[in-house]
Amino acid sequence: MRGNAAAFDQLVRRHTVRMYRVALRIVGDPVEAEDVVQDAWISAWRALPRFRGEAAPSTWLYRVVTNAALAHLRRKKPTVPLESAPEPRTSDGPEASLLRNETTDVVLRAIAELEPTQRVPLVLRELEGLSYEEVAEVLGIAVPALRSRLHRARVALMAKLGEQR
Amino acid sequence: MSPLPCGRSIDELVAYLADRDDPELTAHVAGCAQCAAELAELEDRWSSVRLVAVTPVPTPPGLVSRVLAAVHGVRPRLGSAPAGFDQDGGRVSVAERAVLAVCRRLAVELATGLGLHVRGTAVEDGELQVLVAARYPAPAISVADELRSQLSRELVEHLGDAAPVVHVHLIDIG
Repeated sequence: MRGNAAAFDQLVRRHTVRMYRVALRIVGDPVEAEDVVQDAWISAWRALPRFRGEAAPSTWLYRVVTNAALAHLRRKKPTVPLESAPEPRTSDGPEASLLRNETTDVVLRAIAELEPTQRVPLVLRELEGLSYEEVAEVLGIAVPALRSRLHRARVALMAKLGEQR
Repeated sequence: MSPLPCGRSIDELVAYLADRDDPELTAHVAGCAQCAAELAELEDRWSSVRLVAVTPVPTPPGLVSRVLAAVHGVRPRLGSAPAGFDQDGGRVSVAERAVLAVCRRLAVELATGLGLHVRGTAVEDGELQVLVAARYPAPAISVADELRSQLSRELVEHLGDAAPVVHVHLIDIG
């Protein structure tokens, strides 16, 4: 177990930032995102004996964190506050930074209003930059089903962004 | 969605925007003023999504350490003896792994109900240490006390005399 534990700690150090980013973009709140990340890593530790390397570790971890985020959304009330979303780190001047923050807030609020079944693939594909095949593997669905779900998500997101102008 | 005067739809343009893998639509858009105008508007909205994708997300300070502490808190120590408690029909032996799992699960469930966030659990020298964060304006100290009481009761119910003494530490008020 000692070797497994050390290797697992390495995984934690290497992937926690990415796991947090995904969790935050799905649940929309920094404190809840940290809860999700902790739950995800504990689930991953418990599932480690069953992980046989069929998927890349990153794909497996995306699956673990999205499952934890979805479980969290099912447990919580149907509201997603983004008022406390962290400010993005930028190196621009104050005006560009302010504009960027406003734009980011508008998009994240619109994403938070999507159904979780649309929100999760959209975050993985459009914000995390995974390929269709990778997202389909993470979500355990076929690529055509994913494309259909993503299309509905994009149409809904574009409509929401249009309403906010 | 209602079609554009040319017969194409906004849905088609959204799909085109995402993948640009439809040569027929590419040719159509090049010669259709309505589609070109709609596409420009959609591209403007889509660019804000792209901006979010490349905007770094700040990670809370100490996150990795807290995650490692949480994971270590559910790991049994090498060679640790199982806990035992009496139940109807005899004495039950519980592996440390199971005790740790029960402690964490109950701590998270009860803390969530009280508006607290568990940042780590660990059994040290037979006593359960629970680290929690609270969000202002929750009455953090009294709620942490309430968590300790509820958790102690629940653990006794689940683990009998194998239930560890519970300590709740408030480590952050955000």
